[in-house]
Parts: sequence; C-alpha cells; structure tokens
Amino acid sequence: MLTGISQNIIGCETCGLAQSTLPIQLHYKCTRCGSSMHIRKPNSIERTWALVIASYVLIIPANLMPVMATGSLFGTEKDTIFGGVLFLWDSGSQILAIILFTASILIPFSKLFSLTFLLISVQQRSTWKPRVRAKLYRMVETIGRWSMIDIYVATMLTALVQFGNLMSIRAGTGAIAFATVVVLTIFAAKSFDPRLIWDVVDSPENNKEISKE
Amino acid sequence: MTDKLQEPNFSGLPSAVAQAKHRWSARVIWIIPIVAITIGISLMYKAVVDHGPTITIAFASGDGIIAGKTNVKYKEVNIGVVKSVGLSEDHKQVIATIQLDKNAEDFANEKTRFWIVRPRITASGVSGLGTLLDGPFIGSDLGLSSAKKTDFVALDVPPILTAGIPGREFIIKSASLGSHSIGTPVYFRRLIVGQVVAFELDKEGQSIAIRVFINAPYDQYVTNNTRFWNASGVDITLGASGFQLQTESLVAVLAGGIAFETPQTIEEQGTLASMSQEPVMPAPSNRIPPVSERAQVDMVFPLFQNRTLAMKQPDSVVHRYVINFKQSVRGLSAGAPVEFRGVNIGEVVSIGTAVDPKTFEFVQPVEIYLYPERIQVRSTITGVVMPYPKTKGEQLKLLKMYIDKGLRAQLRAASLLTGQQYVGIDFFPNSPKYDLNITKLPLELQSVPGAFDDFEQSLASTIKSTDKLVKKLEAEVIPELNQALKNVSAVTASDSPMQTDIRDSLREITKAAGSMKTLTDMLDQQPQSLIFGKPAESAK
Repeated sequence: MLTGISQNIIGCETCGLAQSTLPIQLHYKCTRCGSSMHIRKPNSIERTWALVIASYVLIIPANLMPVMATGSLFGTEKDTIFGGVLFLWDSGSQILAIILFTASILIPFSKLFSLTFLLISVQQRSTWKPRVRAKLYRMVETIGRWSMIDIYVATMLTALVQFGNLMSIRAGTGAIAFATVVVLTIFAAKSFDPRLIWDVVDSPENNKEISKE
Repeated sequence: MTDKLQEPNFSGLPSAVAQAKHRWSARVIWIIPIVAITIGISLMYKAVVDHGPTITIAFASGDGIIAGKTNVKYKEVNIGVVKSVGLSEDHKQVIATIQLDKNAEDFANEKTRFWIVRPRITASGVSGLGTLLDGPFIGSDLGLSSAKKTDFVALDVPPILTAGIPGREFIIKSASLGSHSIGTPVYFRRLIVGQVVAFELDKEGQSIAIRVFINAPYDQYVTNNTRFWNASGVDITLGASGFQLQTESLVAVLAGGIAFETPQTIEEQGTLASMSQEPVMPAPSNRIPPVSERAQVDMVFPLFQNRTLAMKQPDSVVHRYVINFKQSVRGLSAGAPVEFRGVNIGEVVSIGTAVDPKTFEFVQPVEIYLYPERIQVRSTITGVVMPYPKTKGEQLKLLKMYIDKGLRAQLRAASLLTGQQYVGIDFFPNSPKYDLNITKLPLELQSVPGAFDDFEQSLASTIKSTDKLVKKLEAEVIPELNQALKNVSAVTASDSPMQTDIRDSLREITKAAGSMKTLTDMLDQQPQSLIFGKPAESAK
C-alpha cells in the first residue's frame, strides 16, 4: 500500500504542505508554517498507557466515593454514582437510571477497556480486523465527552442549590475523581495514534520501530 | 509498477526540517498515573484504615432504623452509621450493624451505652423533636472503660446523664419506689439540683436502691449527715397528732421528687444504749455517722417518708420495753407516740397477742421504744439537769425506783373523733406494786387501766342499773298504775253518782258566786252599809 511512511513523505497538519522526510527521523518542523510534525504521534503508546493506567486507578474512587452530598434540614445524604442509579431505578425513573448508568458507568468503563484493547492489539502487532478497531477508536473518541453529563449535573446543582441550612449540595470527592477519569480518557484517546493499527497491516516488518515507540 | 508510479510524483518535494526528539517529554507523562496511584492509595487507605470498629446493637424494634441512613451520634455529632439491619437469631431483637468512625474507635467499650432517639414527651419535658423530620438516630454515651466490646444492647429509654457532667452519684435506699422514676428531680431548698438516674431492686427484693445524681456544685451540700426524704406527691398523715398535709412544690406533686437537707446542728450524742438488751436501731437515721463532712460518691442514704421524719434528731439511747395490755388495743398502731405527761418520749414498735397456755388468758404485748434522752430532768431544788445514768446498773436502779414510785403505762385516747390511741407513761402511786423481772427481755412495764377504760366501765354499770330500774318499773309500778287509771275512769263516767254530786255542787258554787257579786256591788256603791246596815227601801 502507498502510505506516507513508506514513501518518506509527511503532510503538515496545519498548512497541508507535503514534505519529504528522512527514513529514520521521526520529528520534523514544517518548512512553510513551522508547525511541529511527526510521522506518527510521538510516544503514542506509552503516553496512552500512562493515561489509561491513571484512569483505571481513579475510576475506583470515582465509583466508590460520593459524588454529591445533599445537605438539608433532615441531615446530610451522600450519594455515589451507583447509589444514584439505584435511587432513580427504585423511584420509578428507569429511563433516567439507564441514561445515568450508560453515561456514567458503562461509557467510562467501556472506553477504558476499548483503549486497553487497542493498545494491546497494536503492541502485539495484531492484524485482526483493523477496520473494526478503527471504528472502535472513532467511537471512543466521539462518545468520551458525553460522560461529563454527570459532572455537569453535579456542578450545576452545586452552584444553584445553595440555600444555607435549608438545602445545599456539595460536590464530593467522587465527582473530582470521576471528572479526572473522563478528562484523562479523552486525552488518552487523543494521544493514541490510530495509524499504528494500519502500520502493522501494511508492512509488519518495516514499521516495527515506529509502533514500538 | 508501484515504484514507477511513486518515484516521479514525490521527488520534487521540499524536505522537512528534522527536529531533535525531546527525550524528557516522553517520560514526564508517567507523572500522571503516579499521581493518580498516590491519590488512589491515599483514598483507599483512608477508606480502609480510617474506619473504626464494626459493632452491633440490639434493639427491641427496628422502627425508623435504616441501613446507610441512620446515624450514630454523640453530642449531636455523627460517629458512625448503620450499615445493615437484621433480626437476631431467635428473631426476638433487631440487630443493627454499625460502622463506627475512626475517631470513634474508643466508643466500642463495655461501658458505652446506646439508645434510639425518638421524640419523647414526659412529665419533665419534650425531647428529640428534631427526629420528627429526619427520622430517629442512635444516641450514644461514651463509657470510660478499657475493656473492648462490640455487641451492645440498646437502652429502652435515653439515659438522663451522659458522661462528663460534673457532679456525684449517691444511692438512696427506700422500701418502695413510690412515685419516683428516672428523671425525677432532686430538690435542695426547693431548687432542682439533680435527678434520679437509675433504680434497682436489691437481690433479696427487700428494698429499692435509687441512684441520684447531684450536679456540681450542689453535690457539696450532701454530707454524711444529709437526710433525703420523699418530696413527691401529697403526704397526708392522719396520726395521733392530727391531720397533716405536706408537699414540696407543685411540680414535685405532679412529677414526683426527692428532697434533701442537712440538719443544722448536730449534737454530739452520748454513748449508745448499753442496757441489757441487744442494740436497738429503730430508725435508720442512727446509722448516719454524726460527722458532718462531704459524702463520698455512692454513699448510701435512707429515704425518709417526709421531712419531719428525716429531720428528727437521731436518738442514740434507745430502750425497748413491752407492755402487756389486757384490754383491746384498738386504735393503737405501730408508730403511735409514747408520751410522758404530754412529752413525746418514744414510739410503739409492734403490737402482738400472747396467751398464757395454762390459764388461756390473753394479753396484747405492745413493744415500745423509749428515748430517755428526750426529756431532760432538772432538779426542782437546784435547777441542774440530772444526767441520764450511763451504766446499765444505774439505769436499772433508776428504773426500779421509778416503778416503785408507780411508773406505769396506760392506753389513752388521742382523739375521740378518730379513735386513735397512744401510750401514756405516768406515775400512778396507788397502782399495785410489782417487781421488775430483769432477766426477761424486753423489760416489762406494767399497765394500768386507761382513763377511757374507767369511763367505759362506769358507762356499762350505769347502763346496767338503768336496765334494772326499767325492769322493776315494768314488774311492779305499771300494774298499779293501770288499776288507778281504771278507778279514775270509773269515777269520771257521765252517769256516776259523783258526777251528779259534782254538778250540784258546781251549781251551788255558781249561786254563791252570784251572791258574792251582789254583795261586792253593794259594798262598792254603799260602803257605809257595812256599818250602818242596809238602807231602807224608802230612802231610795
């Protein structure tokens, strides 16, 4: 297949100018606009791994710690994400419960698992269904931000519901952890270079060094 | 083929400027997971290590206890939360499993008490209203014990006192609980200074130990000589001395109460009774040491029925006597006074019945306590108080001398209205002599018939003679009277000769009266006729 890397050609992402490259060198500067250029995203796998691992660590407190502390005349109530899902389900709002579950539990976890799968498959130089993996990557990138719904709700309520003793809502430790997880997974998805999936498919022998980076 | 296509197309491209690889930037990304792991571990550590012990509390009912929601509070601060609620194995109790906070670790000791806080309305107030809105919580009181405990049984009612309130606890022994209950106020000069915190029946079931807590600084007024008495309710006494009504305050009347006071002056009492009998302790007041110093914690005090009894001076010399009454002792009761010419010198302890197995003669032995120190005997000549002899021999000698002089006991009516009686001690010089039997205990004091007995006897004899008189009248006088009446009626019959005679005589008397009238008229008009005679008709 004809690819930029096989022909030692790189296109500037900013100005679109195609330029010739050296065979081993990975980092360049655009001769026209001066933007940084990389044949592949530098340290893509390492970076993605780091962010994914950090997300794995933080997703535990995000789900175990309370995301919202509702203080009212009748005492303080702390709710975890899953507690909120259960509450919505029990109180009859099954649809809302499903939405919350999907956005706050299913998506973050599946995103993490998907990224892990993509990383491992690339590292293993797998040639298994690259189209499917590419689609998976696109999905991960697209839906990532929707997990922030929960955080938006919590921050909005925290800002709006402040009636002193009568009622006040505070964001809990879980909310911070959860927001961090969402942000980290977005960055992880960004730092992953989907071209690595295809490099192996193209010429497994040639691109060994690049995919290792 | 492919090479042919590619080569000419890309040969003329400008070459990109090669850049050095930033070596450090590749590694710096690992700071993020390291920070995340650090945070995660610290959170996990907090979650795992920061938890205090898990305890269980048994409740009679699980009303309002919700897992994950019901808090355990100490001084209105959360120290734990109910994790789960379930039934005990025998299904008799509700077991709540509680996760205590790390800083509440020391609550899991054997002295700590737990109870459920719900709205309560009692005579002394309303509490726990806040729980109406947000449901009950579990109250706790930190106990000071090093012995660990994880399984608790909740108290039925919240304790009155929680640890840390300054003050001291004392124990009051009472024959019955009366109207006291937990929370009953304790008064000192009508000021509420403490509360009843607990009560329990002693093992023998003979008395009730009431624990009272006196708040600081009032606890300093509880001395070894302090008397506690029952201030609850209305105390109506109908005794030989009349009708008495005592109350502490209206609140005490309604809600009950205990009052205490320390007698002002404590006279140093002489040696205890040393007569030839076992030491007699009639009133528990004797057990209080006559030293007025601050009472120790958990000191036991007796509970008196009322203030009068409580504040009575303790009698250190007590003599026990028995009086065998041959007549009815109706109206005499244990506690009735023993008086010497109106001075109260003792009290009746018990009333019994004894029989002589040979003669079947019944007597009512009445045991009395005499407090000889209550009367100070002064010499009529010198005016000096004659001290009560201290040795047994002298006391007996004095008693014998008094008995020879006629010292006797007598049942007397205290009030004719109520029929109450008391024992009067007095000298009856004419009463038959007797020798005091000093070997038989208690010593016997002989009785003389009471004044009321004399009255009764004379009344009986009067009734008897009246009866006799009536009988005699019936037997002898009435027949004669009948005869006489018959004669009278015979005489007064309308056809009797006497009747005609009487009528004739009356007629004659009328005539005579008429003549007398004429005579007096004439004399009135012509008084001279008395001397000169009747004037001639012609002269007229």
